[in-house]
Amino acid sequence: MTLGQVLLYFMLYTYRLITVNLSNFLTGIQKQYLQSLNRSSNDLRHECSIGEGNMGEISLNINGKVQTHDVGDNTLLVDFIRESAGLTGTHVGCDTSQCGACVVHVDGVSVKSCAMLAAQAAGSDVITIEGIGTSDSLHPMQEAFQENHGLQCGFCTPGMVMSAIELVSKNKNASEKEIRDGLEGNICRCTGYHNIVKSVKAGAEKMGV
Amino acid sequence: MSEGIGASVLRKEDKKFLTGKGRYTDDINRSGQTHAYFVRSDVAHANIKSIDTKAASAASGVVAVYTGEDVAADGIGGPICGWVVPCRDGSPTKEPPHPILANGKVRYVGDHVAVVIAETLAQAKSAAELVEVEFEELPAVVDLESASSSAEIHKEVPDNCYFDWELGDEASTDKALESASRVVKLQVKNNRLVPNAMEPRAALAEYDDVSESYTLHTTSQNPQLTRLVIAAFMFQIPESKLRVVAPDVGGGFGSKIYVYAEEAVCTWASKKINRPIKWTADRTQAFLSDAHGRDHINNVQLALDDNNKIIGLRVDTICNLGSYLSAFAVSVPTYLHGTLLSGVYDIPAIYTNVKGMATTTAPVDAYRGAGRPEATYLLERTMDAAAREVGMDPTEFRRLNFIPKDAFPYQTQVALQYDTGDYEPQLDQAMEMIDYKNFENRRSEAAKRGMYRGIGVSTYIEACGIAPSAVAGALGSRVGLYESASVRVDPTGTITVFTGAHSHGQGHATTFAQIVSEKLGVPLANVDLIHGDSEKNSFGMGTYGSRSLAVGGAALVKALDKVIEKSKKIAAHLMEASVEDVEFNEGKFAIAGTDKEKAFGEIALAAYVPHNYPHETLEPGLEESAFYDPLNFTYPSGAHIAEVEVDPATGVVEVVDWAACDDFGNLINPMIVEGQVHGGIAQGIGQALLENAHYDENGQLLTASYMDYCMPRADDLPSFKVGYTNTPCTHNDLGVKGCGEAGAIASPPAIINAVIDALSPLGITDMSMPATPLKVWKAIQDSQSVAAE
Ligand code: FES
Ligand code: FES
Repeated sequence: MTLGQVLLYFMLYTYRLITVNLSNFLTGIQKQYLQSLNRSSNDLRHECSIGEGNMGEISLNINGKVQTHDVGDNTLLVDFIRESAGLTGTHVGCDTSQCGACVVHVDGVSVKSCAMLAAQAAGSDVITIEGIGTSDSLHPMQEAFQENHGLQCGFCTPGMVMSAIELVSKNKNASEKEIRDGLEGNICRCTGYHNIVKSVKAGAEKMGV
Repeated sequence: MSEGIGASVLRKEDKKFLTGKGRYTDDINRSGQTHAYFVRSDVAHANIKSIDTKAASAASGVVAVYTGEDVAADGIGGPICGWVVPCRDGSPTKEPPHPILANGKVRYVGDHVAVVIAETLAQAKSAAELVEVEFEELPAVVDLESASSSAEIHKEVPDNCYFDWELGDEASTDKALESASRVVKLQVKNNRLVPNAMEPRAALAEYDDVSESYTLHTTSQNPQLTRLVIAAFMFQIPESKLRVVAPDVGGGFGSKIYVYAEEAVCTWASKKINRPIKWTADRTQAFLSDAHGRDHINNVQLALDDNNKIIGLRVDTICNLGSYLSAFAVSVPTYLHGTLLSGVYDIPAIYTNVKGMATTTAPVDAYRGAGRPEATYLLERTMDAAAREVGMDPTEFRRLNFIPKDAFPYQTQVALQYDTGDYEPQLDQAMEMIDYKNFENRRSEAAKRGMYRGIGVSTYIEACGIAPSAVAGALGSRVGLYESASVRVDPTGTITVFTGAHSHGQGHATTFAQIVSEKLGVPLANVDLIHGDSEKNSFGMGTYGSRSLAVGGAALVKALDKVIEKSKKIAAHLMEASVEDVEFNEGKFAIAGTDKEKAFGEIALAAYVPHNYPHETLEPGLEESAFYDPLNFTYPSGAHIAEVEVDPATGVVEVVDWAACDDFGNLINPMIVEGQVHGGIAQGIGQALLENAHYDENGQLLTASYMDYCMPRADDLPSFKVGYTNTPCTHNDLGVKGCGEAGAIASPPAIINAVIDALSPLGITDMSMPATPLKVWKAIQDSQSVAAE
């Protein structure tokens, strides 16, 4: 290997989110949009705060309830969920679309809601952590996280659970390695992932997918 | 199944987090709320010539713009230093002022220059771009080794040296070095880290003009201390006029101990504009302005005699404390570092000198382990280097120098007295768990695949639950280090516990309830925990330094003992017996030798409906408090062994196996303890392989996002094997030692020792953190070109 190749490998290694993460978590629309603008979601977030353009009202079906609110032309989906719909279970842990604290399902696909415009999700069915189970009747994946101590401070947890549900629905017999690779777009600072991996395995079994 | 001490019961707090019902500071909103955005310095070091806020003030939606002049005009002070040490020359620690909005000068990229408060965050951000700051740039001071001869940062800090401190006996140590048959020398660097709790810091400040009082919701590990510092020291208002609440907090790891400029500015400004103010950091701001961790350079000299026994240790350290002295910055490299230099070894002479330096980088303070990881890293790296030099297996060399188990209590040469410990069984167990004896087979098998496999050991000790207050005070602490607990029994026997500790992931609601369940025999479901609100909780010191259980848990036991004592008196009265004959077991008060008994709930009812009650001798009600000031630190210890594989083609280090065997004393909830160990190891692996906060020579932080600062992710880590030994702590009622920091303390040297071991066939004997693929690949290339020459 030449030094150049190694440098390239190194860059890919440390910046692997750019490749792995986007392909894992951005929808086709998101990718197209970002590519067309050749910019990151960080720019989007920044612009969102700067921009003033009003899109008017949009409607999203969040957790089975239609939510209609005024948005800016650059309001992010995560801000729509947290601020307009008041569903604060979805968290924001970064400004570069890398931590996964904001993962929700849009039309059945897991999406980093900080990397999608609210307007792009207009008319979609969105499921957030509040929409998958209740404290009386947890979703099997939520149950598995509790039973396997898959959370500590709880901040990464909503995004982690939403990612995990999609991961195991796509690959019901995911190995430890596949689970670790699949959760690569969700950062947890507390658990060291050991118990998250255990939770996801147990969740897959419980879900009987 | 028992729900008491020792049971791995599931966490009571989980459901709210799992269903999205956690309530973190940024989740809370108030009507009429405004949003703050801080204008930060984009240069490392400069005089502020002028700040023009006119355009920003006139921008749409802007409510107010404030600068350091406004803060100074109101006489608002900066955050204070919680710990200072005397210098070698007898002078005190230099404590320069730390204004919450820069006054005349900025000292790091991210320093707070002005605050813009507007109706929406978008408006505040837009207007912030209109604040015009004219800087007269000064040279940045980034390099630690040349900091003393670089540009002056504070006029109060000559040679950019906050303190020059020493501990131990220099003469006897130098004598040992002179008489040694071998002196092992090593320089190690402890890379700078950013704690990166996943919840960014946030604040919601409100002022009530009727009661003339403030309420601050903030991301704090110790809200009561925050209240004391802001009210009494910064604002000089009656402490009762400020309520500080730390609701759910998404991780801290040390970074949320201190009072930060943003929360103080928002609180101050909430009165000026008489409206609530919300501020939430984005991740870049967190990177720039959260207190960073580590950043040491240690020069180590270890003296050995003919039998390879250690006879002396000298460590000269310089550490980077950044642009201002953060609250506990001084204690971290001194009393949390110098005092740990004996490790688990019997070392007859130790001396250390530590210079705490100012640079134009973010303030540096405690990060998970705080001082103890740095001590462990330098010591465990040196132990391996020494074993290599004398040709011994690193585990055998360690055994030879362990403090023997019959030597406890053991007085070290650096102030601490270890109460209990037994280090050989920990090492035995960890070696068994990882199958140490067959390692060479695995190394050869890997070599056939073209991979370099290595194994690395770290045997550590830490000192947790800093105490007693009187000793901490004598060593320079300006705070006490006790903890408070109250137990309120309701008339029907349900219980609320109030603690001065704060849970931000540690699971106190469960662990503390288990203690109550064990002691009072009540179901876990009947016990609730209230923490984190200065209006509800007694004064307490919060959570850091693995202290919650060892200090806060012990305080809870004291309060529970008072509850039991009073209950016995009530029971004796009800059953017409003498108090001495009342026995309390599993929730029942019984009279010895009779079949008379009363359930705990009946006693509670009698206390609150005191119709048949010993009023002459006892007050009604059942509610007790206790403050507990420990007699000593606690000393968790352990052995961690890492196994790695290095791919010579890419330099990637893969952690393939991990065995940890720790002694935390008694375990209250083994499931939670194990989770703490996992998290700590992951952070240690992050430090050893991935993470590094890097400033360029102009003082720009190049690693200010998750694009550049490599956080450990699920696919960077293995699963961990975790085991325990137990020598209960002798001086708290629970026999517990603390487990929160162990993993982060033990793991970095285990990894680096393993990497060096893997590369030892190439003649490589050194590797710095983080051992990134590029660095490892280069080391391999260099070794091969040396071999070729
Ligand atoms: S907030 Fe969306 S990925 Fe971090
Ligand atoms: S549980 Fe705290 S970040 Fe994952």
